[in-house]
Amino acid sequence: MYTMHIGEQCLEYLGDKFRVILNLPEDWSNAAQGAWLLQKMVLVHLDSPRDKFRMLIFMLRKLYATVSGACCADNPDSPQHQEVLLPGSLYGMIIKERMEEILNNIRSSISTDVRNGVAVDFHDKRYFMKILSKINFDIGSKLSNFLATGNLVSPTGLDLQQASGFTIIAEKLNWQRYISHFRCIHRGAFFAELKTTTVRKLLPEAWGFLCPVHTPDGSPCGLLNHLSRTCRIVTSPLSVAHIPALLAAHGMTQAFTPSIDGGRNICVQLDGRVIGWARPAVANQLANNLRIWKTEEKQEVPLDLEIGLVPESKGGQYPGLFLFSTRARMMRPVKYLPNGRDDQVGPFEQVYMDIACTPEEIDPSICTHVEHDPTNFLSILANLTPFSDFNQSPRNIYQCQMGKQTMGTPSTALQHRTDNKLYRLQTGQSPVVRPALHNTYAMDAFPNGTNAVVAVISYTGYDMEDAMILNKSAHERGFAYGTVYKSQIIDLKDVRGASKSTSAPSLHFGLGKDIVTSGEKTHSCINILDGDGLPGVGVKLQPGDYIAAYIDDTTGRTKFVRYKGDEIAYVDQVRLLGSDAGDSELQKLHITLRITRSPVIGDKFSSRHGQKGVCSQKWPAVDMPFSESGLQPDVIINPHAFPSRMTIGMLVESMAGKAGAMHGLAQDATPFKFTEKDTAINYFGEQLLAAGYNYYGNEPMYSGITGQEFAADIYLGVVYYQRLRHMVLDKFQVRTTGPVDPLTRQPVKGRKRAGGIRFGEMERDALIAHGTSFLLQDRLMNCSDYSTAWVCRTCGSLISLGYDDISLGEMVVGNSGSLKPTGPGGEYCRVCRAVAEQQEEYERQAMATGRHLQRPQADIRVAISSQQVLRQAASKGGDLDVVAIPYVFRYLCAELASMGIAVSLEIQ
Amino acid sequence: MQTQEDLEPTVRIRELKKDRVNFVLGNVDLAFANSLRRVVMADIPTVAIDMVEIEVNTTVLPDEFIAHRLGMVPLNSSNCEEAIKYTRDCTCLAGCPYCSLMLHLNVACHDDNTMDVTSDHLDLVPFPTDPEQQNPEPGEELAQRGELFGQPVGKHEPGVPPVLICKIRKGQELKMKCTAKKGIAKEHAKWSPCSAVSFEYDPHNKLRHTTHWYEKSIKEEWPLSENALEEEPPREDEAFDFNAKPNKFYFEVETDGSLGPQEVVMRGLAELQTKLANLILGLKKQPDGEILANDPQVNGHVPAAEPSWAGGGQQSAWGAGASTGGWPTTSRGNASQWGSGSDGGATSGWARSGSDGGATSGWGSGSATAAATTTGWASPSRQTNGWNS
Ligand SMILES: [Zn+2]
Ligand SMILES: [Zn+2]
Repeated sequence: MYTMHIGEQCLEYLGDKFRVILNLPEDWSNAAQGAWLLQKMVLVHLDSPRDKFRMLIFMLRKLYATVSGACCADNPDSPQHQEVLLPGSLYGMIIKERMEEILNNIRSSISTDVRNGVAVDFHDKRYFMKILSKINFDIGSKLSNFLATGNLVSPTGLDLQQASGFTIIAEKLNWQRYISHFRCIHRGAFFAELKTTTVRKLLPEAWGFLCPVHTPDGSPCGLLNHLSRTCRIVTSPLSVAHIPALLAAHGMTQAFTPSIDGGRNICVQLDGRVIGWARPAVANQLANNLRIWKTEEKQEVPLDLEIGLVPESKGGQYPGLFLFSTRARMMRPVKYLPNGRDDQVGPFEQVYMDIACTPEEIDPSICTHVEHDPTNFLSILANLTPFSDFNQSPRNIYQCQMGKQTMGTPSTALQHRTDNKLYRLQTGQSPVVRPALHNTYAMDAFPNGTNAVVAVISYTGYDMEDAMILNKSAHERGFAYGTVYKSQIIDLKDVRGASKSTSAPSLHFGLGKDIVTSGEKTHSCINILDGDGLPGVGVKLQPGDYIAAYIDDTTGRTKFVRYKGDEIAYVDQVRLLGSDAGDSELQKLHITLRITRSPVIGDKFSSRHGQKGVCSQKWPAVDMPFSESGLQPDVIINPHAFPSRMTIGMLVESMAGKAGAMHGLAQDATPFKFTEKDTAINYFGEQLLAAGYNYYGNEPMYSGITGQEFAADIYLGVVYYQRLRHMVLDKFQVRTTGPVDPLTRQPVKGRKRAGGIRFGEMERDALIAHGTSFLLQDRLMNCSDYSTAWVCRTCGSLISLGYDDISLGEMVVGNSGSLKPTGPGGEYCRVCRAVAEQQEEYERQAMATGRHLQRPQADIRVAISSQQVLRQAASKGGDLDVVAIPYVFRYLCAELASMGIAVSLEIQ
Repeated sequence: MQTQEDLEPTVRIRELKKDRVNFVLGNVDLAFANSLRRVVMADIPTVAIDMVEIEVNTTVLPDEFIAHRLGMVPLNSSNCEEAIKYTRDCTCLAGCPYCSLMLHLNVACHDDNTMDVTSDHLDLVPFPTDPEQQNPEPGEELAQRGELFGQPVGKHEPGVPPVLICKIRKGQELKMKCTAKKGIAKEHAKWSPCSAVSFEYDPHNKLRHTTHWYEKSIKEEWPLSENALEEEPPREDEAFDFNAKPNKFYFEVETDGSLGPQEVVMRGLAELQTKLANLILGLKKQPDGEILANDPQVNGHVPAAEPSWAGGGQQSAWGAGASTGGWPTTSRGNASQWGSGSDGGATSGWARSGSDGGATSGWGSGSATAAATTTGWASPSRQTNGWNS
């Protein structure tokens, strides 16, 4: 049976079997190949075969335990068992693979030489140079291609589950969006297609590592996560070589011990290597020792060492003491209670640790750790939501989304930036109500909104359905005024007519002699362009205006580049792009355009509590409601925005903002600061009372129109409002007439092409249900593909129109010599004429032979009401009528005809 | 007992300071009191920078933003009614000394420290007259102007911090010519002389116009305003007088300094009077030719005929309200520009972004191409020619 008795034999066996695919040098022995196979293919994280063997045995034990039900399977979706694929590792793998490819190319080119009998001399430098010069060493291009496209071009796939989508552009829309790009973790494209939702579930193991709030809603929900604020990723290797000896000195049985009672000992592992065994009590003691050593920097135990002690349980996780020191693990700081020191914990060990959230809830008999701050489990963005603990949780998720779409301050060095598109809020303010972390992250340097006086009142009806009314005077004073910066790059190399040679360009920026610069016939470009052909800074550009001029050497004429946008823009900066040395002629321009975006009706705003709304009116200040002190709201929102959404945080912010504005305080809005006994309402209510306001933030208000006091008091306060980047100017779509599809003659779709908005089946159903048939016809026919067509009364064909030119009074005579019948315009039905001619022929033959034949008839008949018939055929000749039909119907008839299906219309 | 109607309206000034007046208006109707508030806020003409010609701007702020900030600077506008004309009423073409003011701003930083450009750097200069243009008929406006007319409020006045316009660093420069014009706050908030108008009546809520919502105790949760001292608190057993009407109104008018508080209120009353006179005139069924001819105040200016009022976004609601009767209005033109929300050409051009222009530019070109592609398929005869022939 078993013929292999010693290791050598096994290696030879393996080498023999795998030799074919290993692609190793042919002169290697089977045993060497087998050893290589084990080294490179089996448990590759372990060097020594003995370690691999022990690990395999351990795995077997765990397998048996799992099958017997003594332990449960590990959950691969839990962050407890996950680590992070860092960009650095990925780059490393790509570079490594490329290097391997290069080396293989060198080897194969030498072996080709050997095979072809070329003199191969390894001592000859010139030979090596010749070989090396044949090989493409460009590693950078591969990496830059990867970074630009996110596509992984790799023969092995690097053991990754996806081949594309590895990179995204770090958008600098505002600071929040930018930082989020660097704190996000994606589970992988593979899981996005998965039907089950288990992979998206928020598991308790993620506490403190992945933010439960900061994830998008919709398709990437739960897959695209963001790191919690204090979570960090270990990126440097730790020195842990001495740990096994240290543990052995403190009671661990070493792994090479001849006999170990596996039933009573649990395994001790370091980075997936079995280093020993210990009784559970000893293991517990070892874990405690290690934790004290690492927090107190003793015995050279690194702080980032993860000490995962899985206790024995019935049907729980397989027990053991698992130590981790590798990179790409998530770690987070907490306080270790026994010595009050900072400790770093990882997701594996955290599951079995007792970490109190606040110092108050520490139970000395249980807790070993306490959080530094109860808000540390939230991401940076979630932490910036004020009073988020008062809100219904989805609203905080929405705010994390909207914070990233806010027109804010993307950078303080806007003058030096060349981004494709930047949004800027011109009048950003520091919020009155802000969490403590607002200062930590220096958000005051990147303001994202404006403090607005907000009244919660249903006024004029223009605040229905989440719309908000803006105070016209506030708007005129600059509320939420924004700017969009766009770039246009003009490269004369890409322009038509550029010479392909690199030496001397044939196009030069400037105005030629053919441009009249003064006098009556002054060229219109003079208003915009200077003599050098570049636009002046500050110049206003209309759509289609000249933005640069250049002279073509070959023709000697001046040509222009036009401004491409469809909005009025101002030239903000003109950059001359050249070579590094600065000695080449100017061929490339970068022009920053400034587009002013004052808030208009239809623009989107939101508070920091997921309460978004659209500006519906800019209401004159005199008509706005006002309080006794003459205070008028900048923004009016409807009370219906609150009951179903339960954003109590916004109500608290309103009170806090009002009190803060009155007393000149920056209010702390950090979540979890208030308790049931010490409520926020009471804290801010007292402040409001002290300022002479109602305790609950209400105020009597007066109608601006009549001056009469409202029957109810109004909730009035200060809320920080963000302006979102979705603006109506980028989105509106309207058309009366415009381009049509050449095939169907129906209006095209798409805003960019001046197309229409689809009037679909459901809309059609609505009109049918309302009985508005004229509107229905107007939408689907008159405003769409109205057309008129000739239809034959006799055979009902829509597509058989023929035409004889009888305009000069000619009569067409057929081959039989009889007069061919046509309509008054010379039109006739080709089918009917053919039938008639055939009939004539048959009759002639019948007269000759005495037989009769039937006339063909179409199968499908569509009834057309007589109203649709625009013109009656005058004579019996052609017998054609003009009807109004959708053009696409005629197209359908033609398509059907091509398939051999005749459509026949009946006209009544 | 005398009824309220019989009593003369009273004004009792409680406090008058440089920038505010606090008074109690008595024995008037609620509608009248509110009308005064509205007029004071929106209908009193002042001067403010309306057009900015930028020569050099190397600061970090864009042109239109600085222009907007300049427009917000309050300028001394006392006796604005007589001292300056509206440009639209003036005979000149684009501005003259009688309807416009010229302020220069010319600052450059040569220092290593950051420099503040403030309203103190705005220099009032005589308005340049165009020699080629026919000079408009000289008015008596110039004689009516005070010494400080058109100057930024508080310029070089000790203890008054100037308005910050921009901060510049070494090597940056700001040079511009600003034209200030007369206008009212209905057109743009920068022409408002008031920063806030406080208005209150019935501090004890005896009339029960409102309800004070409370959770535990109305006394603890609702602090009384200071004006409550002026009125008798309701007795416990006092019966509700459902016929009572508010007749005591507590005003505090705070100004931004362009006009004194006294002038604001007085002008407001005068303005209200003019408006009411126009209303009465307009309600007369057929204005007498005699009255028209004899009254120098009236010049037959009909707002309904003015095409501009329909274009101003929500302002058009004003136009509609004002023009119901189509009555003539005074030469002062208060009513005539009720609806002209967008004709002012506000400093920066972003005050009027509401509905004009902009939105339509996107598809104007599209329809032109459409016309080209769709020709010919609507007519049956050409259809015939193109199809199946
Ligand atoms: Zn036919
Ligand atoms: Zn003038």
